[in-house]
Amino acid sequence: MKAEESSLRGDTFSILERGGIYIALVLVLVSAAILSPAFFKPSNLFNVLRGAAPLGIVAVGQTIVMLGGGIDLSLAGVMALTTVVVADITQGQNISLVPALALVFGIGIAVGFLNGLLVTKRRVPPFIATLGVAILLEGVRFVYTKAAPSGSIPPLVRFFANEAVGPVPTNLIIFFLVVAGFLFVTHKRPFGRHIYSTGANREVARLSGIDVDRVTLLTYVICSTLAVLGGLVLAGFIGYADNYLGRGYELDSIAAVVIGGTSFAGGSGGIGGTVVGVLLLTMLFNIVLLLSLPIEYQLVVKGAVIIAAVALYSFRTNRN
Amino acid sequence: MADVEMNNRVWSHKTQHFFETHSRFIIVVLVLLSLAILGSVASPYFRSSRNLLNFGRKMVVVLTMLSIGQTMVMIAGGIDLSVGAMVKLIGVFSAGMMLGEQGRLIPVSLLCLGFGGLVGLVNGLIVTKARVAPFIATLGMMSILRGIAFGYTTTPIGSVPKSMRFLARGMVGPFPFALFVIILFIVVACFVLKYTRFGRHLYAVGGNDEIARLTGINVDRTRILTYVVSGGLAALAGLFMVSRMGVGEPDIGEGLELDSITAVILGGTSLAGGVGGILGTVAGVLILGLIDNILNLLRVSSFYQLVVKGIIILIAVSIHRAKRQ
Amino acid sequence: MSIKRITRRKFLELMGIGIGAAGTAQFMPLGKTIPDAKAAAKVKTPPDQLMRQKLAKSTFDCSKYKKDPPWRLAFVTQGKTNSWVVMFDAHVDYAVQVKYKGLFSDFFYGDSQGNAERQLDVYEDALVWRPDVMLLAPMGQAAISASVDETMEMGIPIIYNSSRAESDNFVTWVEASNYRQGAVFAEWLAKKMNYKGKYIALSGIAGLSVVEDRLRGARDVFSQYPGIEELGQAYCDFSPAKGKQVTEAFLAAHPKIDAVWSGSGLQCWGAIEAFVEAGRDIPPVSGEDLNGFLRICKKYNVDFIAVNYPVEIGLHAVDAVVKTMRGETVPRYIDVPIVKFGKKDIDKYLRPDLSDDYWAIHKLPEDWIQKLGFKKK
Repeated sequence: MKAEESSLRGDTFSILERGGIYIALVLVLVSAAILSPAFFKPSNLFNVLRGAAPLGIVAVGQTIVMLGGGIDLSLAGVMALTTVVVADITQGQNISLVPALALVFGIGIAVGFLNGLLVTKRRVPPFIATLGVAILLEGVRFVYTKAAPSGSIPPLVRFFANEAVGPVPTNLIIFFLVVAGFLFVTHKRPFGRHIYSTGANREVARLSGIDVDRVTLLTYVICSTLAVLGGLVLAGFIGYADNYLGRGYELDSIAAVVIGGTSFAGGSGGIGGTVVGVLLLTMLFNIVLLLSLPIEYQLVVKGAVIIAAVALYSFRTNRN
Repeated sequence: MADVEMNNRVWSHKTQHFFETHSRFIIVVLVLLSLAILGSVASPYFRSSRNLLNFGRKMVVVLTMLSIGQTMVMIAGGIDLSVGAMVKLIGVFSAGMMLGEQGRLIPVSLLCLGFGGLVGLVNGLIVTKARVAPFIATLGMMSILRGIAFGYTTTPIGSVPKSMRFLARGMVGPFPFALFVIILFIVVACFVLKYTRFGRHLYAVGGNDEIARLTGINVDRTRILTYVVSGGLAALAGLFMVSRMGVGEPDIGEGLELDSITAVILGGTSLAGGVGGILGTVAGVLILGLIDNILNLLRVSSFYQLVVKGIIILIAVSIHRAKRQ
Repeated sequence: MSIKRITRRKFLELMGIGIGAAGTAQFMPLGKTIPDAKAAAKVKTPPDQLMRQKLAKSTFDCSKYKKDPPWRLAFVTQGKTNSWVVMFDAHVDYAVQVKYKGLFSDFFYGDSQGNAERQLDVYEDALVWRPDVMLLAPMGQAAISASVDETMEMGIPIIYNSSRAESDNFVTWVEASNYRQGAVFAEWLAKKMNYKGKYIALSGIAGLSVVEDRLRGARDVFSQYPGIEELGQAYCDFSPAKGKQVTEAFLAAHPKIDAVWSGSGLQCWGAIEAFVEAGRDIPPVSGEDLNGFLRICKKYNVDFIAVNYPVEIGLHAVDAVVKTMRGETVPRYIDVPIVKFGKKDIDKYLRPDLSDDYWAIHKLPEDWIQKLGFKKK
């Protein structure tokens, strides 16, 4: 009798563990339907998805870094620097977009290298390495703009960030492409497996012949590059050369990744959860606004969801 | 993961452990000394006794309180991101409840400290019992505490009784009163870490919790206690802040958590746990305070201040290359 | 609204602390605020406005500060975190370097990097530098109060530049009222709505005195008219992108929005784009003299009110510094004139040759504007 009971409980748990985040998503969707009929309006769904895309793009980068056992706090700094540099160089004209893009992607890659080298060669903990780089980037940005950014975002960038193809936002397509790229790498290329092995156990991965330092370095480079892309997409959403663009995205992306079930210690998790995590955070923000709730609800609900989601995941690791 | 292994080794070789701690500590003290020398050479104002004594009345004090708690949490292998939000929340709660009345000073202060400890307890329970990664648990708590603070007030509120201002602003002879308080805290914290069972347990738990468990240490209780201490000290830092300001201000406390973590890591405490100490942390806090102070007195534009600060932090943490093999 | 208040209180209790009541029990003396906007509306003139009126009638005798020039001036301020501050600071620089050339021997610029705690430390550093006079733009109304008391006791005169601290220990306060700005926006919008309709409110960053004062001013006005209803209020962190996201959600939730009260031009920019993309008519909006906001307003032919939060406050503040150091008697409150304008005057203020971050109403010569980097390349 007892055994039966526990196996029953086990079943409940296994549903939770396989689909926890999806159950949470459904719960939020259902409560949205009950609380605010406006949520399911096509225009609102369109806006939620379009709003989710920039966070989604950087969250993919953050997922890769965290799977490899790291963390990246500098990506918001990269996003903001991207915006002001592109706005300044192009002055809102498509014509000089190519050199501007070359420069910002170059900056992104360089920042990724700096993060990666600090973490691998100098063995600086990722948290402090990327935090130091974030402070440095903020300084560089202010030196560059003198606190008064000039120029604006060219129409072409705005098209890829703010328009729609049929009912689908263009930036969502970019997000999907990034996700598809991630899936391709993790499923079809050895590099994907190497990220997981490195994150799971660095020593074992090294002994099995993986160049763990190179893998870690690359995760940071990919993340910074995606931060450049995310910065462009977010900048194109409004077109203003915002010195504070992406503020808070570093912590929000981490929150989305862990809500999505990627382990903080690295080595386990995946992109599906991250996508849902991003949607969940964006939807919560949207619903709070639809219901016209004051700011404290937004903050408290967000905090509670983060803790609850991760607690749910750790149930299974606990059990195993 | 690799860092855990690094620590396995550190734990198993005690001499190495000592070398590790001390070499990091020596580096941080060297950085601190060179900053101090640079400051005295570059600016006559820096050398003035008023400036030096001012450190006893500045954010350094608040940051030291937060960082002592943070050090304990981190030695035991955790991290506490909720401390900045706690300072914000206690800042408005305490002033809002004291309303400048002397009679409410003690009860409200005790209530605030209790609340800080309680939130720490919740953090600890979430981390140990619900097995949520400390970063995430306290990140969530940070959001919740900020929410409560804004729910309580978004505008300046209340005031503290005049006598409370003595805590942050009072002078004993030429010395700021807070200097004595903070030195007392540092001494007690050093003592706790070095000579008490709790202190030794912290290092064991942070070094390798499995081994710690096998040697009969109550790992969960030790961890929870670190969060309680951290929460309580954060509440105390909030009281200190409000005594410095005189009025409850909702626009404070953002970013203090990252500053305290930076200070602790600068001071040589490992993010993976098991390694570190209070004196290093104090040196780390002083480095952050000195950077700001010197650059301000040299009238360096704040744009370059950020660049310089970032570079100094990166250099300080990367001089020492942690051993892995 | 009343239901919302109750759930808010409940919510606090649920968090395990039954001290929510203290929040509304606050009814504080001068310069402090009443947390409940509804309660404030019942008072005809809010306490901080009364305080301004009272201050404006009094003067401060500065004979004890009289000193022959040159003087050492310390200016502790928010720091160059956005373009408003850049132009505001430039007015102080302009006064010190050009208008009062030769009167100041040295100048200490205390940059708080937009952080109220950091300002406390920068302030201490400024005092170590031993200024003759202190120009202070407090970050938080409350945070720096006790430091101000101490400085005045040391015999260093303090002039508040733009915002003020709680402390009444100061020589003079040079500002334009944020409360009034919010109220002027609201009055115009209310009139445009014919005193009947629904509005949304978009604020900057939660907890900043500037932001909360403007919102309070607006709500005090709107609540006088029973036909006007607030659909929702949100903080947009002075980000056009967030302003747009927030407005999108409000548009989805509310079929009819008759006005957008925005505390700054930045979030309103996003709001306008949201209306355009939703294919809805743009209602009357409020904003400031920010070039980018004006550009968008012109592009979509928006009916708007713009009131500047004058960057020239810095200039008037240095005027007051000079008077103080010459030992004159100065008024305790100096109200810097504001400019209101709308759709029909837009070409007078919009500068297509300058960047979005330029603020239209100022007293700087053209070459300074170029030097500050507002010129398009």
